[in-house]
Parts: sequence; structure tokens; C-alpha cells
Amino acid sequence: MTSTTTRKTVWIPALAAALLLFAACKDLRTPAQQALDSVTAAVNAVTDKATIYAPQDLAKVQNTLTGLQQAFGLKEYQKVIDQVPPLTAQVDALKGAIEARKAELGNSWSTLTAGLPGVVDAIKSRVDVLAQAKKLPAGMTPDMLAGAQQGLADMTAAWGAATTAANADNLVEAVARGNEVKATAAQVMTSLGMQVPPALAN
Amino acid sequence: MPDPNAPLPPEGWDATQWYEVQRGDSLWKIAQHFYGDGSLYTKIFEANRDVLKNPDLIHPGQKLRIP
Repeated sequence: MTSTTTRKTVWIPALAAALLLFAACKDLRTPAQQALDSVTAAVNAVTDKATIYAPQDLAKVQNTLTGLQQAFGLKEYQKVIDQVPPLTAQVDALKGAIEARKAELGNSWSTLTAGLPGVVDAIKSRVDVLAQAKKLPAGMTPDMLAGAQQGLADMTAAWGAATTAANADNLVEAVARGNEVKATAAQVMTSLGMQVPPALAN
Repeated sequence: MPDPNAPLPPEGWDATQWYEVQRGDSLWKIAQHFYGDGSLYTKIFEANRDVLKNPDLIHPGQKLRIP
């Protein structure tokens, strides 16, 4: 009798505790799932833009999200519920970083689009005239003119790629290609003995 | 000839190539200097039709565009 009572006093509270734990887990599972789904959707919504404009910040957010997904898999629902709000704040900060970088690159792109076409036109104009010359100016060889013609072709191609990237809302690529054009333009103008605008010297 | 309606480039980006006429210059000599071929002086004349009426009449101090 004593032995049975002792077994019962151990067994019943253990069962009760297990049932309570099960119930608690079951209660927390749904809100944890909802919170995780919500923050996962928020991360997914910014991933494309963040990949372009804030890849390092995105990597941190994705690491945190992976940790929460693992915690959910381990049934650590309270941990998930506790850590979703800070991750949501991280996602909001990521959105801010994307917008800030886009604005900065947008300004650079605006300057390039306003300035570079005129520079390329000036180079094309000079190359076209020199291509008609029976003799080149002092200090210029046919190879130098051929190099300038190739540089002009490269600039035209790079500018086309920059414009395509900008139209696809990839200002990182657009500005990078635009800066390539800028650097090539400075080289070609120098090789042709042209005055290089101050903006190209930077 | 430059397009008067073309938007102005941002500060520091103007790539217009200018030359200030010196005493004794002619369009032929200027073309010879920049292009190596004096016969291309018409390119300079056409680019400066707003300030030049006669390719044989240029004046020291005049600023010419060199295409």
C-alpha cells in the first residue's frame, strides 16, 4: 500500500506536469507560428531589394531568422515569440538602409545621366573628325586614334548596360557602369589631347 | 552647331572644347593644330556659326568651340 501510494505521488504529479507542459506548448505553438510566418513574410518582401542595396544587413537578418526557424523546430516557442519583435525591428532598419542607399545612388545616377552623355558626345565628335583627317595632329598616332575609337565603343556599350540596369531598378549596377564610362572618358579625352571636365577628374 | 535648347550639363561636367583665337590664327591653322589636317576647318566653322559669319574672319580673343 505504501509503495503504491508512493508511486502514485510521483507518477501523478509527473503526468500532470507533462500535460501542463504539453498544453503550454500547444498554446504557444500557434502564436509562435503566426509570429514566425509574419516576420518571414516581411523578410521575403525585402529580400530582392536588400540583395542589391544592403546585402550585409540582409545576411544578418537572414541569420537571425534561421535561428528562429531552428528554435521553432526545437519547440522553443516562447523564445520564438520573444525574439520576433527584435527581428521585426531589424527588418524595419533594413528597409531604412535600402531606402537610404537607393537615395544616395539615385543622386549619383542623376548626376551621371545629366553629365555623361554630353561628355561622350564631345568625344564622339572629336573622334569622328579625326577619323576624316588625312594626317593626325602632332603627338597622335593611328594606334592612339584606334584606341580612342575602341574606348568610345566600350563607353557606348557600358552606358547602354548602365541604362538597362537603371531601368531594372538596379542603381548599384547602373552607377558602377556609369563610373566605368566616366573613367574611360577621362582616359580617352586625355589621349586625344582634349580638355577633361573637372567632374571626370574625381 | 550647338543645340540652344539642349539642357545645361551639371557643374563641372561641361565637355565643350574651347579655343581662344590668338593673333595670326586662321581656322585652317586651328584645324591643323587640333586635327592635323587644315582642310577640316569647316568643322570648326560649322560648330561656331552662331559667332562666325565668314570662315576667313576670326578675331584674337574670340572663343571657338572645337568639335
